[in-house]
Amino acid sequence: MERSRLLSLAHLWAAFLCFLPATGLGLWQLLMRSPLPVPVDDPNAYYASLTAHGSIMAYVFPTLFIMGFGYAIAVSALGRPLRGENWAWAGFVLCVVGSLMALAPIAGGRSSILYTFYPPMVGNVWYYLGVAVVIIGSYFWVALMLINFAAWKRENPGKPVPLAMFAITTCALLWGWTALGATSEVVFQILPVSLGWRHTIDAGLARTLFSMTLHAIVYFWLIPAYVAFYTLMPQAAGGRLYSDTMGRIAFVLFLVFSIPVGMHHLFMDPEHGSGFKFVHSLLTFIVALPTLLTVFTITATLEIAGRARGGKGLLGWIRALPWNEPMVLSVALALLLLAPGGFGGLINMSYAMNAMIHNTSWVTAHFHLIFGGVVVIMYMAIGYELWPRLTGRPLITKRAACVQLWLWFWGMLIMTVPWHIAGLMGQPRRYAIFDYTDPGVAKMAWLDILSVVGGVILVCSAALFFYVLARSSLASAAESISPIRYALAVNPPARVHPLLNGFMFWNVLLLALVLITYGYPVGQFFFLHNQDAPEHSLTREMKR
Amino acid sequence: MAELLNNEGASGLIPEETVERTERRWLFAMATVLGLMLAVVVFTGVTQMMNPLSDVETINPATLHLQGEFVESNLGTAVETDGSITLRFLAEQYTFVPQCAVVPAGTLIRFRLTSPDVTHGFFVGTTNTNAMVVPGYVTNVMARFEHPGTYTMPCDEFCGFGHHAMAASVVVVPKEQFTKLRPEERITTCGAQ
Amino acid sequence: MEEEHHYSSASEPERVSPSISRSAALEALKNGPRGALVIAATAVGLLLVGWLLFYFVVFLTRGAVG
Repeated sequence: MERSRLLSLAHLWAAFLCFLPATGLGLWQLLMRSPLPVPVDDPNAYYASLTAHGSIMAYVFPTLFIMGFGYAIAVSALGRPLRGENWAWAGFVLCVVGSLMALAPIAGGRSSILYTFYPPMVGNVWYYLGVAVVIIGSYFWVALMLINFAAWKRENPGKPVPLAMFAITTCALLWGWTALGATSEVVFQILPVSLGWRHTIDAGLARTLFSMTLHAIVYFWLIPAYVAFYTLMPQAAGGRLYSDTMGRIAFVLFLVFSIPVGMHHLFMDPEHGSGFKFVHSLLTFIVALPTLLTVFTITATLEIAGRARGGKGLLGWIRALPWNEPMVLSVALALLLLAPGGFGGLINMSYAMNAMIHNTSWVTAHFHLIFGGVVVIMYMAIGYELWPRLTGRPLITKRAACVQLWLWFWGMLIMTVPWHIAGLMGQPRRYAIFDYTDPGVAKMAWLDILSVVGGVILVCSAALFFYVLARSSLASAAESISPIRYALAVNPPARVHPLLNGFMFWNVLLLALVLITYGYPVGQFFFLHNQDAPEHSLTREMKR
Repeated sequence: MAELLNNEGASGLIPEETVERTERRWLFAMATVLGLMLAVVVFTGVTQMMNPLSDVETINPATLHLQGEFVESNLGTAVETDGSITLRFLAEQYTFVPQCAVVPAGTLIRFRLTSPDVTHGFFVGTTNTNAMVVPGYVTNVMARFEHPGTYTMPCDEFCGFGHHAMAASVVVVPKEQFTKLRPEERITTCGAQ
Repeated sequence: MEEEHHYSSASEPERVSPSISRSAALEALKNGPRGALVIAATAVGLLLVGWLLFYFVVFLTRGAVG
């Protein structure tokens, strides 16, 4: 069994333990906003639920999962014990404590500000402190990834860092940089107000600082899924990775271009000019490149496996692939979801075209499809892959795992496709209830009902996922569980260019780009006048 | 030992170079596709003025009720000397003020919105008139509605517990009909449309 | 299985997954990744066509921006 397995297992258990109820909240929310009857028909509860659902799904679940996966990679790919394991446990505890701190006021209805917490709306101070503590805990992970990466390089001079470790360290570095945006907003702007030291807040600056995190966080979530694409799938499919080098290039491109695109979330905002909005749009086109590269490299990798298994003809290799392997099935399903998900993203980022769908249900559909779909389905597959190695017990069934993945795939499509359509028809987002007696709204009723059907399938899938892992944990220990092993490339490089083996240069480039793309947009706020808005405490509003 | 270092494959080509060449060609193709989209975006941005809102203008949210452009008597539809329309709304929890405004079709309309409290948003029907309203800033959006009708203008950013009940109406009437309206009728006739 | 450079996959050779031999992989690739090119190019082509359709048929017809 793996070293530090308990550490990784604790992280993954915590992640999945909060994921499951969060999906349940999501289903309740779908019912609320549909014409169907729903228990606890209370709009205030909807916004509290939405805050919990978003905060768990954006800040708690993926962070814990990625940390756990990262530690597992560090010990298995680098072949040595984790340096700083006690610190890792400390970070885990911080994440759990922070999550509970943040969730408590939400559950009490005292911080229904949504996971984007746009000031001058101000929620409960424990929410912000909780989120800050989670981020601090995650920074322990960031530091440990970098420390273990650097230590291995020192001990193995001139050798290529194993791709999985290179990639997850890129992920850690990206998170380390990008979290500073939202953290600055919380520490310098929101907490002073929340603690009563200040009473006004520049909402434009707050939104801009938050945007520095808001996009790159999705690449923080995405990179681990791509790690599975590049380093866990090829051997599960029975083949080799098409190109190790292109993998490294893709991860480096994510590191450099994920942050200086954040203002594409502010296209429709009044506090910035179209010049910088265009710059961010341009860079977002560039950050689409590593995904487009990955799509080709990974499909080619699947093809190698299929042909090696006897597939013939232009597309006959598809059928030859081992579709009963969760890691193979999940990658194919993820790629299928990436098509419409990426399409939505291309629409959103195209500068003025953003006006067509801004803050409609289209946006909600997009990020559920791309994150809830593409990324989470891979998290589930990674869960199945890691579980036997962390628990020492075999997975009770691959068949149920594959059924679960198919359910997640269909559920996600059935939930999000109607949302896209409703968005184009003019349905605003973040609505607790709709007035279906209004003829304009009534036209969307069937779409909202369809989304509920999708949500039901998703919750069943999530429950099945949890069940498979839980039952497998209770199976009898097996002696011969193979350790985590990583894919071989077609042409495994003996040496890798230093630029694809380290981050010094990319850090400098990243900082330069952030300065260029955010320097003026953030700096301008310190020279504008009169824009500070009085705080608007949500807790006070409730007492009225 | 030579096998370890020899990258030659069965076909005699050096496969890593082949792989790299294929990947490079794919990268070039992808950059071209993205470049084409970008070109369309730039072209329509320049020639059809399809750009997101751009003027950064601040305003004090605490005093805008008392004086200046956004006092209640100055809200709603205003006709400028050049015939264009300025449409001013306040976005506040949980209503737009005014709740309804009449504007002429086929005319340049300058939306100006701000908020005295929290961040809101708005869009008009299924047009591209869509923007955030952030307290401390004035939102300037240009629009032109060709088709008469009543357009719902919901708030599209979470602004508190009443967010889902917040919407205004923009009533677009033919130009001739609009010119016959007295200024106060641009609001009073609104609900009757 | 022939011993190969393993560091790009994992630090210890035992941590590299046994998979097909390099010659088998090259054999699979002897005509290049044609299938992948067709699938990926078709997908991106559809995305481009879809984007253009949305841009000119849905977006521009909805009126001015900004």
